[in-house]
Amino acid sequence: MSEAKKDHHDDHHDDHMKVYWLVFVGLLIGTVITVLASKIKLGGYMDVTLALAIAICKASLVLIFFMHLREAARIVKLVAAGTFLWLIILLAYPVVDIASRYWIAVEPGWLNPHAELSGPADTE
Amino acid sequence: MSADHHDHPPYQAHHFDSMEQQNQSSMMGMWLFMAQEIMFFGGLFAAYMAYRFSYPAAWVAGASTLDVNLGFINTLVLICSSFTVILMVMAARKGSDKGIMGWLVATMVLGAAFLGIKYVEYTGKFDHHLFPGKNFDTHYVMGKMAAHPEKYAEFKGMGIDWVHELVGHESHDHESGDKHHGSEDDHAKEGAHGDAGDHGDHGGHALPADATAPLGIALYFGLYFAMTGTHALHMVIGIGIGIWLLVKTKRGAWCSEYHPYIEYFGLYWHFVDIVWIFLFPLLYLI
Amino acid sequence: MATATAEHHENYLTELKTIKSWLLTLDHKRVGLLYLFSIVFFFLIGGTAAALFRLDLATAEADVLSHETYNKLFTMHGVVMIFFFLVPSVPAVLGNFLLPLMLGAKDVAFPRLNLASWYIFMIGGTFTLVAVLMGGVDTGWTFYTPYSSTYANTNVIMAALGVFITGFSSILTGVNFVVTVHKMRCPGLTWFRLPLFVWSLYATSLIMVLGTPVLAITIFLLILERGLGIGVFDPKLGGDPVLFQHMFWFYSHPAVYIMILPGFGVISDVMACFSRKRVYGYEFVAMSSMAIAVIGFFVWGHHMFVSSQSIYAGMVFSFLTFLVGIPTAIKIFNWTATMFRGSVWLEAPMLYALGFIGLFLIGGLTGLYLSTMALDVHLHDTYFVVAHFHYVMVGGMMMAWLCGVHFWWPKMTGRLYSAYWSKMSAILVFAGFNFTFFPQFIMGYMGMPRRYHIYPKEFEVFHQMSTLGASIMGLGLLMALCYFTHSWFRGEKATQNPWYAFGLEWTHTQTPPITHNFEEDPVVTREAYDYEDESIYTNEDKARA
Repeated sequence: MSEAKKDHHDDHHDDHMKVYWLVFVGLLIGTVITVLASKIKLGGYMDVTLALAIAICKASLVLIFFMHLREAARIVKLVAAGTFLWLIILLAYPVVDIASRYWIAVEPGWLNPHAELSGPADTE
Repeated sequence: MSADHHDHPPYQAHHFDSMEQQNQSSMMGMWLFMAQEIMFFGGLFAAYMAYRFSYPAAWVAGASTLDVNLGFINTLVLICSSFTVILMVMAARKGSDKGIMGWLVATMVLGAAFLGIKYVEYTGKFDHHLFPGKNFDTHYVMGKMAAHPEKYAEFKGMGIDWVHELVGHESHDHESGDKHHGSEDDHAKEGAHGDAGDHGDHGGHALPADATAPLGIALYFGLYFAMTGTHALHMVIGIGIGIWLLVKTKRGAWCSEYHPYIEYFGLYWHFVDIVWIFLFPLLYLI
Repeated sequence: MATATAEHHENYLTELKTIKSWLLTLDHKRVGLLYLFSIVFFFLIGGTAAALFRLDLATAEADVLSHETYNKLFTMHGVVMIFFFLVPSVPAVLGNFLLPLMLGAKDVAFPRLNLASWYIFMIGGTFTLVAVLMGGVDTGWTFYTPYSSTYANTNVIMAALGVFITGFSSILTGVNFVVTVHKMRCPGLTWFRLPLFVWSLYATSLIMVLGTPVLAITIFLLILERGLGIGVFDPKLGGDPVLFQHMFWFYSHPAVYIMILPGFGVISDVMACFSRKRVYGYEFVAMSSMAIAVIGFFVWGHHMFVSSQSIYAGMVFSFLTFLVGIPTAIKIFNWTATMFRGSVWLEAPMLYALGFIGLFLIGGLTGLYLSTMALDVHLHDTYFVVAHFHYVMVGGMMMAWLCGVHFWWPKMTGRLYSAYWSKMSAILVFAGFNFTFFPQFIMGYMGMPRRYHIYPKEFEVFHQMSTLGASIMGLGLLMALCYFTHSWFRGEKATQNPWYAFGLEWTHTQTPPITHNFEEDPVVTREAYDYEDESIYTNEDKARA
């Protein structure tokens, strides 16, 4: 009976190995794509968005398959999802602050009567 | 099993009621630890995003001093090491100590290779005076900028107006193909004058007198070293933990049902890989 | 009468008495006591710093301290009180001791990690003390750049390292508690049967895990900048000091919720016991802790309204700060409603709890003033802010901590303390506190800036009231130190459940508990605060459900 169990166990492992090989190759290809995509200049914020999108795909592959998030307990999935949400908040806010800091200076109106002020030298 | 009066495995801690509880608790604890690691690196990425937004020209200029090939190789190295980690975990689940040790050593070798390449990159940076602080010098950066002035066309001001004027020159020289010969003579001349710095490797342009580095260039390099340095530190710690695990494995600490630290090491290593997956495009491929 | 159960076994205090057994303990109860001694020690240091500068501030001139020393003293007061007293106060002392007991568990999920947390805390504290001994830091506890990164010539790196290291103690405690609450509950103990103290610890632990690492990386970057010259915050290189503030406050605002939420939990438990009534709106109080933890992460910019942060961002922060007041208000309403038609009895814990509600209310309401951008422009960096945060941190949190220590002291030590002196002390602390900090609201409103060593004569009378009040409060606190010390060595032995309280820690464990907490695993069948059950009055053994 332990023999049968061992076989089942091995099959289980083989299935996993197939997935792992696929993910491994996927990651290698993803890296090549990342470099190729950087050669395409889309202009503005699209370049970094594309690079981030590819990186997020690769990271997701590692998380879901290599780190076994797929089979993890629900609470672990919640921890992972929650953390990434918090990370987004941390990343977004300073940028939002800096991006909107000088709106007030460039738009005349009741918020800023001294409309001739403009932001840091020559940024968009 | 030993003639214990306990009816639970010897590796079950006394405050747990079952191995299931123990394993689930430990796994959850490990993921929470990684959550805080994500937030730790997150702060660096937040600073990166804020400054990239403010100083896009500096980011392009700074990235141009990085060797994409080395970064690419390092990324592949880490991805391979993630794969060897998975093989290590599979070996552990099969109960093969030899397998664990073999793949663990492979992982650490790949990790060391990564650090070796990083060392090469860092020494290059120090040689070019790109480490912020007293010895920071922007000549090398400006040289790189002069080699590809078209990349900066969209940026106004920021101390790089001089680059826009080079755009015509650059394409002209490219066509002529004489650029490199000409510049080597120039370098010889400059070398004879005992100029400090390495004008030799900026790809062939004499910089105009009013050349200045883009605003924020020191921030790019500050963050480059802070981010890659913290990442490298985590790799060093990982390798250290790997050595400890090698010793434990040799002493027969694991079995196929119980090898928690192997699994957690795997998670940690994958996490370090994920950080690099983001660092590579964000620092190198701008 | 000394109960029979108290003599049955050795308890966790008497079982092993060597120093090694304390320093290498894996028992969460002993770790809690180790933290108790440590934070009292740090409190005395932070308090001494305050006493010194309060003495000088009693006169408008600088006649006791030099300017540099004054700056260093208020910095150290802030650093020590926040990181080495307030943050660990309830979670590390009471949380460590009580969490497994309240859950019916034998220990926390990771006992060795727990001990490691204490050692990390002590190492961090040592670095900070070394910084003091080497001459101190004068940047303010907020370490704002570019002063701290470039211009200060005091021991910034040493002090910052101390805080960095201690942060990991906080993180590891948070990880430990979250897993413990999820995985170590005894049979029958569903989430909505948990004591509210556990809910608040859980919410606190989530904040600890998600927020503290951001402080760590901020300090790390500060140390790199100062030590290696990697100028991430240096304006000369294009750096943005406001970015430092964003990163710093991303942790430090949720940190104030780390400080206060466990206090809320203590008040809930004490209110229920001393009103002989279940907490009104239990689910709302539990969920409000979670809401505060979540929303608390989105409001940090209210510390930066006048820092040149985007006004649009400021508006969002202002709105969200108003929003975070709502769950807090829910708690205050619910505690008050708990007392209504309850059977209130006034022992020391209840005096502190009542004081908490009044003082935290004032502190919280003045927070709303500060979150109004238009008002904050005038009040920022004045004593109004100082008074606000001392009302919530001292009038609120310190009193909540004292409330908890007074409530659970018999359980922790098996001894009682003097009822008379404890009530006297509570009244002195309450009166002294108000005398210290209420004048500060007034002078802040009138324009007295904070962190100023010398000031215009017109504010002197307020400062003198403040210093006098501080002396009274200090006296009350010293009184507490005295009777607790007396109680530890010579106090009357406590019965198993002197407050006739509900909760597994009271009803199912010995006083003090045995090392492995429970003789047999408890099974929970009733809700958390079933005080309407009269049987607990007549026969305390019947409380074992």
